[in-house]
Amino acid sequence: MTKAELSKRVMRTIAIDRRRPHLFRDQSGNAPLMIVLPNEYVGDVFDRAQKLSSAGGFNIIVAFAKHFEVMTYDGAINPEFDMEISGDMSMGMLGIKMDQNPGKCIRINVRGQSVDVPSAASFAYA
Amino acid sequence: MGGKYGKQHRERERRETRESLASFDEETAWSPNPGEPTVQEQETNYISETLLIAQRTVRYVRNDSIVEFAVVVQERVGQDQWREVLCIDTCNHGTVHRHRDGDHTQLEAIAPITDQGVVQDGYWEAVGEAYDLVYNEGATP
Repeated sequence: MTKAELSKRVMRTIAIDRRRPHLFRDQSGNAPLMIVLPNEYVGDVFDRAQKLSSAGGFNIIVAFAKHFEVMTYDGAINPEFDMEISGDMSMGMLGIKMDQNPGKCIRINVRGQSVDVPSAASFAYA
Repeated sequence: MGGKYGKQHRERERRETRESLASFDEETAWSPNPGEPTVQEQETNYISETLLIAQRTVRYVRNDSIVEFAVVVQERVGQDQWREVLCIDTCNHGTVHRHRDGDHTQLEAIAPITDQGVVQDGYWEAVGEAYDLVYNEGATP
C-alpha cells in the first residue's frame, strides 16, 4: 500500500473513529503531524519534526499496513531514561524498541538532538 | 466485466449528481442543528517542508458524526507564506464543493447537502482527492 493510501486511512481514522488517538494540539486546537512509513530513517524524520514543531509539540504517526502508531511530544513530560539511537535506524525498529519499555517516557538522542517521547500508542484503522 | 460496470456506475452517479445539483434549492439544504453541541478540531499534515494538507472537522458531540468539514492543500511560497492550491469544504452554498488556487469567489459544486450523510461521504472523498493530488499529481491541479 502506498504512502498516499496509508495517509488517507490515518487521517480518516483521526476524524471519524471514536477510538481516535489523543494528539498534541496547540492553543488554537490544531494538531501538527507528520505521517511516515516504517522504513523511513529516524534521523530524517526527527530532523523534519524539529523544524516543524514551532508550536512546542508535534505528532509523528508511523503508518504500518494494518495499524498505525502515534508518537507525541509536547515538552511537558519527564523522561524516565535515555536511549541512544542511530539516525540510520528505521522508524519501525524504533517502534519495536519503544514497545520493549511500555508506558515509559523515553528521551531519544539522535544526531545530537534530544526528543522526549512517551511510549508509542498503537491504533487500528477505521 | 467489473470494470465496465464500474465505469457505467460512475457515469450514472455523475449524471445523478448533475441532475440533483441542477434542481437543488440552496434554501432547502441540510445544515447542522445550531442547538446541538459540537466539537471542532483541525489536523495539519506536513507532507514535506513545502506541502501540507489541513483538515478541519466539526462533529456532533452526541454521536461523533461530521457535520462540517474543510480539507485544504497548501504549498509554501515563502518563509512563512503558504498558497492554497485546493480547498474542498461545506461552508455556505449548501453543497460539498471545491475551490481552486485560493479563489473562493468561484466554486465547483460536488454534491448538494441533502442530509448529514452527504457531509460524511463528502469528507471521505475530499481526503481521497487531496492526497491523490499531492502524491500523484504534485499539487498542481
